Amino acid sequence: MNILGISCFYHDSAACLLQDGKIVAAAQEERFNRIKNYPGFPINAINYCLQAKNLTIYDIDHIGFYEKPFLKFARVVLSHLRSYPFSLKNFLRTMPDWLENRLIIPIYLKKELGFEGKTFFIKHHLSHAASAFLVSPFEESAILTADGVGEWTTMTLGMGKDKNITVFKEIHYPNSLGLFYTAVTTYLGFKALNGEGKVMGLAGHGKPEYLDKFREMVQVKSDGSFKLDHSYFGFNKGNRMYSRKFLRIFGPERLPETAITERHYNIAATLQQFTEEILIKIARNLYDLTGSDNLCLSGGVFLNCVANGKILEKTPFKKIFIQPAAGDSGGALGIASYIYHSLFEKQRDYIMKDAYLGPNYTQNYIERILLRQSLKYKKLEDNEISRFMAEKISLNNIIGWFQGRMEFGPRALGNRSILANPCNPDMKDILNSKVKMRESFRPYAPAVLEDRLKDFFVLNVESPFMLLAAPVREEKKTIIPAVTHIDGTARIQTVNKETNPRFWQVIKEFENLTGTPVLLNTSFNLRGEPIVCSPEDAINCFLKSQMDYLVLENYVIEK
Amino acid sequence: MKKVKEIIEKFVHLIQKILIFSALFLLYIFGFGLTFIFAFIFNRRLLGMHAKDKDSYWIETQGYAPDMEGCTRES
Repeated sequence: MNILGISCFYHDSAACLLQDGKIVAAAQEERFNRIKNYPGFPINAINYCLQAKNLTIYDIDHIGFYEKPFLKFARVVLSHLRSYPFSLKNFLRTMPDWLENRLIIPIYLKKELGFEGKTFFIKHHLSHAASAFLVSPFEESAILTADGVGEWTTMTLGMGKDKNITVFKEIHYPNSLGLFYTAVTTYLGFKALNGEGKVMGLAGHGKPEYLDKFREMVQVKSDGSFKLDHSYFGFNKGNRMYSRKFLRIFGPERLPETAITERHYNIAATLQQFTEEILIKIARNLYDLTGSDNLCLSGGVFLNCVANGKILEKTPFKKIFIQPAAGDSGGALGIASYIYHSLFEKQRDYIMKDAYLGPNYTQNYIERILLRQSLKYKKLEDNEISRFMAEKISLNNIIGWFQGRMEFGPRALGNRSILANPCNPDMKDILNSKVKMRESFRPYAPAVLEDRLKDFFVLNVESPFMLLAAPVREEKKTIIPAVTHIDGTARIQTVNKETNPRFWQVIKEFENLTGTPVLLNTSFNLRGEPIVCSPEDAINCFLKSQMDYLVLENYVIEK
Repeated sequence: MKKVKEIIEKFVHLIQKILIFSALFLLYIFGFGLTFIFAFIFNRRLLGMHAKDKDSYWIETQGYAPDMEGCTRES
């Protein structure tokens, strides 16, 4: 059975192909059309999924869409009514898209793909829940989802058992932890649905001095449920998500690209701590309700790896699973899995051990591109590449590394990565000035050999998808300063030899040379661009930056 | 000839956009406006006003059971 899952028309559209219960291909549209967070119809991602398995649309048995459009439209209309007349601008901006595309999904699929079969729709948060639980290693698990908003729901508590998911409680819009975090993100001068990760990094620099004020804005009950005081916010009013009352309390908003002051650091720190407190309370409540030692997390809020690490540390849950595309792009995976397992009641055999679901490119293809672009290169054997890379990295070179299948989800996990020396305390500044042009407060992340995790970090579980942050061991902070954040933590990726043998080998060779089984791993892209997808993208990125080497499979290009 | 066709197409799209924009504008001002006034007078709960404080903001769920037929519906 071939099932195509699609998520689109809000942000981070994606497609996923499930074949007889196994996820065989998945990708975000932005990687193909090079428009960051692209929300439109993921035609390129769909075509990739079909081509990956030599299928046509006529081989697809069912298509699933990751939410219920009519329910969502009802909420949107009511939201406009409730914000009248301040929602005029948003109304005029968004209504044409609803009328032309979002309310006619089956017709749209027929027009764009020629698909005339059955299309399934499930609730948005059920897509999130399914995207985590149904590909997790757990037979049974508590499930917590949280994001900005789906149809009406912003958060759910549930339980997964075998192939079934039961959702028993939810919180409705406009009470949304995700939108609350986004509102403060925009107040701090960052973009919505893009800047939240930056605010998470900013938080490490500040002190949570505004907790009392946040508690006035958000009423939190003993069971973790919460209600926002909307006199402080305006989710559907004009250009701002926060009100004048909010500005009176916290001062003027920060304009993008302007200086960050101590006040901003402290607001970010408060936001992060406050969000963690709510999530921990909710997770503890969920543990009491379910009694399960396992927890699946999904929804955009759980791209917050610092909060994820705190949930693991401060709740009774022993094991945690967060699917790498935890945001809306993962909805495509969720609906596909749900159709197969929960609706058609097929057994679960597949566990998502890696995120390498995107396209790969042959050595021949790469060589043709290099010749076409008249680039000088050398080709190394398999056993030479990792040693070469490790040596260059140990000498503080920055390498763009392109190998295997592209990752699904926002993190680069060793297949579309820029690698550098974590032992060099200046490497963060070097990377920022030469390649990434990132804000200085943002940390870089480590990739560590799985069996050496506990030597370097205070973390007892694997973190293959870089979605858990944990403290760096005190005695190791001076060994890997470039990946140790100012608050002593790191967003960790554990690398398993079976899952990614080439990446594992590079880190191993680096360890042989330096004694440190850790590399700095950042995404292969320039600021404001999606992660690279094809060799052409990688070459463009390499040429526009000051990276020292580009390694495309076995081909090495030097500047 | 091809260029003329392109220009005509662009012009038609522009007119379409203007018409849709105007219709939506009128719908918002009058349709939503009148609805807002009626709701304000007769049913403020619809506008989310006077929401009461509760002991818990968790809501018991509906519509999550696996239902083959229900999942073919967009609502």
